Amino acid sequence: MSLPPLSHLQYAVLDILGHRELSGREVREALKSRKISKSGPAFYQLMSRMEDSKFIDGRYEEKIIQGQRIKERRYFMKGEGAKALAATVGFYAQKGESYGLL
Amino acid sequence: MDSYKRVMGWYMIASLLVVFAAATIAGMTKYPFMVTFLLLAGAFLLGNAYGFYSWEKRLRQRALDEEAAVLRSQDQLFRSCNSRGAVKQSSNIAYGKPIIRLNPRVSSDKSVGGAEISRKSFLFRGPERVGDFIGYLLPRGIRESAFNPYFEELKEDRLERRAKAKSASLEIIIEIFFYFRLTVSFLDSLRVWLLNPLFKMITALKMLL
Repeated sequence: MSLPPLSHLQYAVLDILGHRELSGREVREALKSRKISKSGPAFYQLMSRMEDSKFIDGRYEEKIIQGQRIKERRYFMKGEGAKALAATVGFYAQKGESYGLL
Repeated sequence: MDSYKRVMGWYMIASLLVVFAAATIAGMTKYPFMVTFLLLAGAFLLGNAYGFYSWEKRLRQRALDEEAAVLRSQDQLFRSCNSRGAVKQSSNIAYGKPIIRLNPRVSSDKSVGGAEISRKSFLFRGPERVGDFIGYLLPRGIRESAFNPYFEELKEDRLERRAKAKSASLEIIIEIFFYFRLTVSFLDSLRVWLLNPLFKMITALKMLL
């Protein structure tokens, strides 16, 4: 039996990102609102793996807060990520149809 | 090959030697587990000594860069205020540093020494330096992928909270909270680093079996 290309966590991250560019903090807060809680380092490790898989890309953006420089990590979805997201949605839609759920 | 890779190569060879030595010595002592643990911990700390060294060097360079940036922004601020007539530079030079004074016609009298602003911002960055130091206790891969982005988030959160704090006691609580979160994130990064190979091994075993 074939498997969907994304895990549930990867799917949630890509679904949150959509076509926007979001900071790591914003993605984490959105995950929390979906009741998916991950510690900070574990979350960034997940994002790093997704970057390795070419689903997303990240960059540092410099912000000045109280006269100090902060490097905020921002993420956006790549073409491979959009393809994987569509394939995952397609996979579950097909399964739903075969079980007569849709 | 850059120096980091070279040192890590030596570190791995030294670690292997220590593992062999630990196994030999552990067999001859009363407390084999404790001896093995102490020797491995020693090897780990020695391996990271190079990290501390390069960290200190980089930190000094960064402090110089920051000082230059602060001086540049001070200079720009002074020029912009001066063009509007809001400040004037005192003709008296105290201890070789110019005194910048607000123009009394524009505002009440307040003056600030040339390097005072930059000195304040350096003292303010103390806890962040501790974070940088702790980061260098971690292996490079996990530091860059998991610890550093979260550390930046912690720094941002700390600065935002400090900006809202209205009393000294609240600032102390914020600092304690920052250190607590920093320690937790360090331990969590260690956990992520140690669990990854373990999971990979279990997956490989499952595939074999």
